[in-house]
Amino acid sequence: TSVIDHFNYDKSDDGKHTLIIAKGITNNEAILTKNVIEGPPVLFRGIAHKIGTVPLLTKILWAGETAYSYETKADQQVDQEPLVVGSKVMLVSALQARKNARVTFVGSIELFSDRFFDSPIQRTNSAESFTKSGNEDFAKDLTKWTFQEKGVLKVTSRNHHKENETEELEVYRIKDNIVYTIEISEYVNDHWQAFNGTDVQFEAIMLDPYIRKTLTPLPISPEQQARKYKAHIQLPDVYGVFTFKVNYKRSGYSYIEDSSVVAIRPFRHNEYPRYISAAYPYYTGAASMIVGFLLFSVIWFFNKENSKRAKKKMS
Amino acid sequence: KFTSWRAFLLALLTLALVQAEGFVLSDVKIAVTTSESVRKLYESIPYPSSFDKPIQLTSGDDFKMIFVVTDKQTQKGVQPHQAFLTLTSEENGNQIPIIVRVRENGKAKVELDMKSAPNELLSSPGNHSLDLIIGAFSHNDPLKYHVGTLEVDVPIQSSGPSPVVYGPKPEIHHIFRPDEKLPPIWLSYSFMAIILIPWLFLIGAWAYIGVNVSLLANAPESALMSLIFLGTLLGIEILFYNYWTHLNIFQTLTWLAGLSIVAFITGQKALSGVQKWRSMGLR
Repeated sequence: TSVIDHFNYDKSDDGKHTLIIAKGITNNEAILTKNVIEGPPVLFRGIAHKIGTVPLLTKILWAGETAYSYETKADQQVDQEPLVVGSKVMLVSALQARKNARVTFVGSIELFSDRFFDSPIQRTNSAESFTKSGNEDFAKDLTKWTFQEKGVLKVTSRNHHKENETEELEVYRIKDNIVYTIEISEYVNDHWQAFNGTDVQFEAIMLDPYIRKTLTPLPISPEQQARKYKAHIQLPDVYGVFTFKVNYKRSGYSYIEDSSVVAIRPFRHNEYPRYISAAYPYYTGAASMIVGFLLFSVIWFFNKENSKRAKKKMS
Repeated sequence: KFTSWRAFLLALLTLALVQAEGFVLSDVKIAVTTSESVRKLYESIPYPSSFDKPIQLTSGDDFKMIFVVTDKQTQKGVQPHQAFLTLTSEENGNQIPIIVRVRENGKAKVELDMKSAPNELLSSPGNHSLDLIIGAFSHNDPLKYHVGTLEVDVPIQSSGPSPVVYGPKPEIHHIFRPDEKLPPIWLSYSFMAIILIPWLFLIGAWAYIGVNVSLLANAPESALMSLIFLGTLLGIEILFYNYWTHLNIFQTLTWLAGLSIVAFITGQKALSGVQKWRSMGLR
């Protein structure tokens, strides 16, 4: 079977309408650079495949609505349901497994051929034409991504500590204010440089996430190799063993799962509020007793009874 | 001369016709029958314009369409390689193809029975664009004909868990338990006042019986010991206040040990002084 598209084939097709001009291209800039996405289209001659909905899969190149996958015998009709029809016809797609292994499925060997690299494009029944196909740049970007030279991230360091301190503790207290920082760098053009993502999120999880916060990227100087992301977080008032996790999974980039386990303890007996408004009467009672006792002692020492009254008492 | 010119033109035209051109549809008719075999709709669509009213389909309906495909030049029926009737959902762009089998004379009949429709269609209610795509290897001008709009009226099903997509998740802000609610502050203040009321009685009663500190004012010499003793008592009370605010039991007991020795010694001397005053008749 081949991918057939009677509406989108190049002029130099051999009559089977299989040398098609791919219509759909991903706009994921982790896999393809902007030049390739917006540049001349890609020529393809080969077989189709279809992909499911697993988020590990990314579609990179797909056909138009009028394409389908079938045998190319001329005097026959399509009478069985083709494997895939329309924009579901995938020409190039990629899988990044959970440990960041990358596999790219390309249904055409000729896509990588010198002939296709140098071929101009002229769509039949259309004025659309390009002097050179986008195959060469597309192949460069695709192979870079597949061989882990593009869109690769790593965590260079991670730190958490209480506000105004520097020590990374293993036990925090409920309602503590902490500062969490993580540094992520990206491999671009054969060297590590600071990553530019803006949606890295921090999670505090104990079976379910209690807190999820987007970290703010800090500005960096050009020679720094990793970008620091920081967040100020108030720990929840639930105690237990928590995991501080940065789980960054985006299509096209390698997956980052950085976690550190931390215990959160409840208040100690002397960390509760010290003076309670409901206890004011008791405070005044005790103070009143003390003052009364001291006053009475002074009076007892230095009191001189009125002589009239004393005489009265004695008589 | 004229005939050879015509012959030459004819030859040119035949050369140009190596690749056949396009398709023409004719006799396009649609019909919708309900599940009780009541014919709801029967229309003939004037190709190349589309059917302007939306075609309504509910569950149990049966949609049928017939047409004839002919070659534009030869006007003979053809069997194109690709003859698909596609339903494209206007909401989510989902495309559902239906394969049309075209007979040798170009006549074709296609049926969409909602009773046995694909699940994709049954779970996407709303408007669908109905298009007929005709293509073949031998023709270089394929046909995409917009037949009309299908209004699919099926109950909205909760289509199960939606597929996971990697992306930022919604932020979770922990809601802290509100502080313990205490009784209102005016209640505390009023009880404070109630506790302080006995002082009025005490001061009143003392004033009535004529309490004074005259012996201090007249200052016999041994008043000094009494004063020191009273100062020690004051010190012990201040120690207790500090214990209440910031000291711990060990520091308190340390201070208390020292202060109580001083209190004991000065207390004895003070009391012997008071005894002396008594014997002197001052008390």
